Amino acid sequence: MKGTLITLAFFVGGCILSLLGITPDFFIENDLSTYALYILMALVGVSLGLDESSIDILKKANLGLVLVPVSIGFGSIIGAGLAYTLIAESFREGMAVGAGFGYYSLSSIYISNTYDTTLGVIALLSNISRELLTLLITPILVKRFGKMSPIASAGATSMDTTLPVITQFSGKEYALVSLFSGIVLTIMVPILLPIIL
Amino acid sequence: METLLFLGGGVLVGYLFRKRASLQEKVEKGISVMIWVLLFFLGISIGANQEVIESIHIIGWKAFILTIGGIAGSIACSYLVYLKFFKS
Repeated sequence: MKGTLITLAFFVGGCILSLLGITPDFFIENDLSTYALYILMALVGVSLGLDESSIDILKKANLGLVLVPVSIGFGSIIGAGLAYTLIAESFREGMAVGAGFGYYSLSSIYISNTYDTTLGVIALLSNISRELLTLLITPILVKRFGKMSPIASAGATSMDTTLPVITQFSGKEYALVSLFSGIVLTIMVPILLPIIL
Repeated sequence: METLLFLGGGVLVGYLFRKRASLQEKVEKGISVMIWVLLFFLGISIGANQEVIESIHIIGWKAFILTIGGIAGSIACSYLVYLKFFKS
């Protein structure tokens, strides 16, 4: 939670500086953010390559376990695409926001830098509210839709921020499922976004 | 699309150095810092974008619709997996 607040503070800080008109033109004229995005993507890659535990967890995978993040990812992308079509917007743009899976920082940064700033902001708001909403409604979800549903709702966040509340209401036996699903979905965000957009 | 090259290149570099466990912490710190920098940039470009500022209520509503669509879709699809493999 603290990390989320710090991250948001940087975004809000940028907004405020810019609204007050005290940002140097240097930032706006030079396309620094594209290079920063490349560095970020490379670092995300290095972190994945370094992480042997994610390879270990994959070794435990069986068909049922693998289908959890696959079905969640597919449902999230198609569901968001359909919802966006219903309000007369682009299916593809909806899919892109849905492919953030709650990983709001990377998805909003990617979309705003490579596609469109407004959609980037939509991705930021939508994916943050996905995390917050999951924290709030997990008890209701478990009652109505079973123990898997908060893991689905959490998306990529089921490996960290929403893991405690998921294990509390779905039970400890779902902790591994939650971790596995979150890890796979997190890895898929930077791979799927360039493909969709 | 070229971002995938950076991602793939990164994975390769990370894999080569996977025995150096101390690197992970530094890389994750680097990721946090880059995310802060980029969100700060995003904030700056939003603040300078009249269109976004004036339509923030519409944008918020669209974001909410997408959140509900994404959550509902993922619960629906994973429910099938839950019934077949998990529910006892």
